[in-house]
Amino acid sequence: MRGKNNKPKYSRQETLTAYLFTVPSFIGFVCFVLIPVIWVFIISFRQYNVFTGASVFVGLDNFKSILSDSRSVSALKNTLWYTILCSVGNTGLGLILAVLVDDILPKKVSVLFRSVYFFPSLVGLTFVAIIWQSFFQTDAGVINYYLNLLGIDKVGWLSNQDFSKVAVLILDMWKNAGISMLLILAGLQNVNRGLLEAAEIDGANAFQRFFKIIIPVASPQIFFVMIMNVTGALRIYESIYVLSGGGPGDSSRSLVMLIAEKGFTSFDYGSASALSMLLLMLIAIVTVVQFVGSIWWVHYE
Amino acid sequence: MKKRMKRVVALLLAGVMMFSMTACESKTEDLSSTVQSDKNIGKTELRVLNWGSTEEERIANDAIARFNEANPDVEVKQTCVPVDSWSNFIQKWITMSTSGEAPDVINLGLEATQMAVSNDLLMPLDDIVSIDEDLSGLKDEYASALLDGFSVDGKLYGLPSGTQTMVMYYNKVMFDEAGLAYPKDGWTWDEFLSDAKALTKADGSVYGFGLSSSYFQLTPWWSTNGTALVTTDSKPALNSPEMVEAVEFLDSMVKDKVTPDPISSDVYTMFASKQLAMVGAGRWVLNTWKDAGLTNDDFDCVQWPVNAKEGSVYGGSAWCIGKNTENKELSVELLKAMVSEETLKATAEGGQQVPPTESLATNEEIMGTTPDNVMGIWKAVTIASPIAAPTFFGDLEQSTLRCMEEVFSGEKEPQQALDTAQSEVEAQAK
Repeated sequence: MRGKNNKPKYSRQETLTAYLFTVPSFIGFVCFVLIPVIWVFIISFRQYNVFTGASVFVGLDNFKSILSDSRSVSALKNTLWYTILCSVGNTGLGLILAVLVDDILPKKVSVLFRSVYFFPSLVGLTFVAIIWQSFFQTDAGVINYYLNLLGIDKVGWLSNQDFSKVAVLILDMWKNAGISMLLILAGLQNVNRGLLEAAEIDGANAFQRFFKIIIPVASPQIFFVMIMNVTGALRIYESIYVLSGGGPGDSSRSLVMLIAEKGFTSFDYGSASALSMLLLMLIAIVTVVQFVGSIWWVHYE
Repeated sequence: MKKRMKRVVALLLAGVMMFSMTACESKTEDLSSTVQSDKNIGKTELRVLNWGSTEEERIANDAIARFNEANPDVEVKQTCVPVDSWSNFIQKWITMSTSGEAPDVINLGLEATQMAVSNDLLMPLDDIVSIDEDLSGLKDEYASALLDGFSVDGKLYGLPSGTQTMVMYYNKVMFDEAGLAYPKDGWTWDEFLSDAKALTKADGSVYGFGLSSSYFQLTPWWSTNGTALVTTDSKPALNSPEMVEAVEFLDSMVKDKVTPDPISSDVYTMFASKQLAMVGAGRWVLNTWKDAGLTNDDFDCVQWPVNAKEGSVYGGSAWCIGKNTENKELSVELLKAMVSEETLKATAEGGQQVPPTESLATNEEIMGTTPDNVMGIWKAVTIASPIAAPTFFGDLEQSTLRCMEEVFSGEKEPQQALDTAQSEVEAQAK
């Protein structure tokens, strides 16, 4: 408070306390994230024998072999497909649900529906996936049964290479849109009711109010949810693992699934590490692009 | 200023988040459970690595308790993990070993035996068995086919605790209604196919056969055509003419809709709910089917149909001793408790596995009397060949299943898909 600088100055003591608070999470970060990432980086240039722990430096061989492997290319394509559709789908559906429970539904039911939409995020995916698998069965599944009533032919949700990713997308959105809804809902609470009423009196219709007021005010939350969904979709694993196992063939396999297969089935840690580094770079690039892009549409108060 | 701070903080947070998200999640974390008590520090300690359900964990704990009656000052820790892939099990084993907790007594699936031996994790048991009366008596009772599966280069590495095989189950009522004679052992693929076609109903309510695209379930088709995924000297042989013939046969059933979609269908539930006339399985389905109300009048089993030679597949698990155990004598005693008649009986009564000795597997009290031909299951074990489980098992399993899915989903022709799978496995098996 002294001097010309009007920025509040914290005492040494306070700064120290603040750092102390961050220590536990920082130690966790170093031990379980930073060190493993460095280790993966080193291993990606080596051939590593899991059983003996011996390793040989092989330069860029691991990277060359994965880049020339058609399986990694198809896994990369699938991952990008998931990234675009899952993130847009989850964020979009989350936004729609959030507006629905915040604005459109009457207050009393909205509490109920808030829980209903959030519920899938709470249940263990492994168990629910068994139910989804039986929904998606080609010959005895519920979904095909109802499609059949509508006059639509049987769809091989899990056995047709064109539909397996769609089945994963449906499960992923069912599972994750609830979290997006909850986070966006927090942003919607910031929207000033007076502002909306004023706009209404000035003759703004529902769409104008949505795009000119609600979205800009809630944009920091939407942006956060978008980043979360994009990084989540880039490393999508669980939803595929439990539903289609990556199949049929390689048609729904993501990069992370391929990493797990190379690492823990083939015990080829070198290639798995090289793939992980590629994925890390991909996530870094996408995140930077999103941050740069956000300058134009995210408004901080 | 405030705005900028917020952005910096947001950026940092996102950075941290990105890193923590990239760290690939492990699925197997705390599913395992460890039985231990810390009271008895200073005692000799033995570690058991087991796999399976909580029921199997309990049976092993009972055996450990019997071992402890004779050896009260030994502390035994059991780690029981669920297994969805044998590579993961080996991984778990390696993790235990590298952290100084190498298991002394291990329950190992047939699929992982060669992998474990080639990585020098197991102790050969021949010398131990030959000097021990109980164990050599037991060894003579095992089906010799079964001991072969746990032997590598003529050395025995495990004493089987249970086995699993495949026979063909059929719905008697549906055969009666279609006016077909019940199948008999030694029937052929052609007879099987014509029965299956006759039993399939045009409206899709009943399929003649339920094909399941999984590694174990597919293997009888290979062995009854006189072939296997690997040659006798453990080289991959996925695109042999016999393999192509077998896959073409299966693919024709899918194309003709004699079987429901082999990738997504739950064939065992469908058989119980009378949507399938025939399905291949081992003993593990019987309890579920009995609970679902199927009786001796509803279904029976028969050996697998034959094209080139009679056969089936068997898998199973055996108790082994870790290569680097510090307490060999005690480990042998514990191993004996694990394969004692009492323990084998308890395992067999669980109803999942087929007992590994003839006297138990042909005992009605243990095997039950449903279906009529339940003893056919033991016959299948004796004519079966072990599931193809070379050192590169993980890759072989993955590539085979991917290849079958590509055939069944109509993406590739059998020859083309098998050629691709062969070159994939060769690349990993070198």
